[in-house]
Amino acid sequence: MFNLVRSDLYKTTHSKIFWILLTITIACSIAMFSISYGIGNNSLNMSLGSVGFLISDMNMMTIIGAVLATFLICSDFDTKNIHHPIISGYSRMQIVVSKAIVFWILLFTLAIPFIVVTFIGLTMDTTFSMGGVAAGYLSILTTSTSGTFGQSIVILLIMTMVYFAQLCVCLLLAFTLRKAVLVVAGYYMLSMFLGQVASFPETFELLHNIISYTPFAGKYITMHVGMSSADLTIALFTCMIFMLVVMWLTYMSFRKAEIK
Amino acid sequence: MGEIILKTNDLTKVFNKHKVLQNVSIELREGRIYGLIGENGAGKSTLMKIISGISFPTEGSYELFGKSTEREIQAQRKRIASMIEQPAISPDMTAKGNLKYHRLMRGIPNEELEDEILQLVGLAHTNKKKAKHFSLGMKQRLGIAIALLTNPELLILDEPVNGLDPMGVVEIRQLLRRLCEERQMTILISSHNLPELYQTTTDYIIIHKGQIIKQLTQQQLDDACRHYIRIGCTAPEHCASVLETVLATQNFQVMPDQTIKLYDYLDNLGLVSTTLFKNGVVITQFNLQGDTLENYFLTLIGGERHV
Repeated sequence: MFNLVRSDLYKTTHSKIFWILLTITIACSIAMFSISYGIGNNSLNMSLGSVGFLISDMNMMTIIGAVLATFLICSDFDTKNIHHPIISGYSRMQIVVSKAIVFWILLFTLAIPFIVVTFIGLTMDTTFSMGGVAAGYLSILTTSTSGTFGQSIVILLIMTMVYFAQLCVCLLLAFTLRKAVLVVAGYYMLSMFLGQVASFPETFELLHNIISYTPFAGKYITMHVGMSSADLTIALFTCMIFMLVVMWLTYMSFRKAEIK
Repeated sequence: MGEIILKTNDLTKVFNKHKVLQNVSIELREGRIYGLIGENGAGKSTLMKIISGISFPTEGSYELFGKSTEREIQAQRKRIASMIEQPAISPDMTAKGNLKYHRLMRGIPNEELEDEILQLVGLAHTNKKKAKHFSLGMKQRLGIAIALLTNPELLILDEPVNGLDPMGVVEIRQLLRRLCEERQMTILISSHNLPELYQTTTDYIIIHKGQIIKQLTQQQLDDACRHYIRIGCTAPEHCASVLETVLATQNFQVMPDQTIKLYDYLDNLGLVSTTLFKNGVVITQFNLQGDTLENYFLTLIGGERHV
């Protein structure tokens, strides 16, 4: 399986798409940092907050994660490259797990710019704001709670885990739907719908309760440095269990799947 | 006879209530080149996909290198390579990049192998040209190159000469023969065209509407397609004697139905008939018979023969 991971990393890092995605996340993270700094220090108008939120990690990672999954998996179905690991004697489980490992490694690489700017922000003695709307790393950056170095690192890593867990749904969609357009559109619609559910808990009471046990719950996307260790531990376990369940479903959908 | 590399037992595949394969039982032996011949939609690719693990049989089973359980077969797949339907390549990478990707996937440490194989399939000159800019023939060569990376014991190729120019067809044909002879590689190669495979393969498996309708060796095919003069007469012994003494040939066979198959003088029927008549042979039947490869194939699958 190490060979599968290695070969996929080789292929991905030799593709323009990955470097374009990395450039986008670097540009967006710098813009997010600058806008939230400007609004927090009253040097930028509060109305720029909606633009800042649009290019913040929560929105960007949703799109970029879906694109990455399609690039890693759907393109292999399109080019029939998915034939090769099967013919080479790898089990379907090994293929799913290796794709997930590569996906998470690349996702972490793409999230690094957001992690870095958030960490820099946390070490600065200043105020960041996006005018009230914030989620993901931006939420950590704009919540006015100071913490130690260790707390900052832990919260950033757990937020990254939340992204890993949320975006592993893209793996399931990619192995099941196999078409890039369907995966990107499907995941974006899902995340929009879950956002609506989180905004109107009374309307979608049952669904809201179910989602509260997943990484899509509002409490996990608006994390901050001041969260208790117990909450962070629950967040971590929720993400890990969710990832295991989604990976199992992905394997089950691919286990006996016919490949054209 | 080499050892059995692959054995299928009544493989059946059903897609949407349609039987794509029906009770397919074949045996492939070491060091031979098998031609899997059938029309489009006959089930060739489906059979190859099942053997490669890309598809699953609805019924039946198969053994690969003598192993039959799912886990064992999966382990044995490291000894095979295949190219099915179209070459599976990464279009944004060069030929060498594609080979490196597959070399890493298979855990092969030898970096020089990439250049060796590119040389072998005639793609050494492509340098930084990306695979998406390759012609169909070049993509086919790259697909074959990828399949050869692991030096497989069983090589499965689905219509590998599609899109190749005549020179390319000859080169691939020579390459496959060389691999078979030098490395004792077993090759299963599909085509919808029997004459196309004639100069490459040693054995033929003819598939039609999902069923194996004939399995024969090159010798058996040659015999089936050989041209001859069929002579029917009242005294075959006397006829045979005339052929031997007067026409000085022993290249004939007396068949159980007392007719004679004469394989000489095919372009001089007049001489044969006159000689037999002059020597007192009473001829009841006299005609030229035999099939072209194409007509033989069409006869087998029940299609319309060419005149």
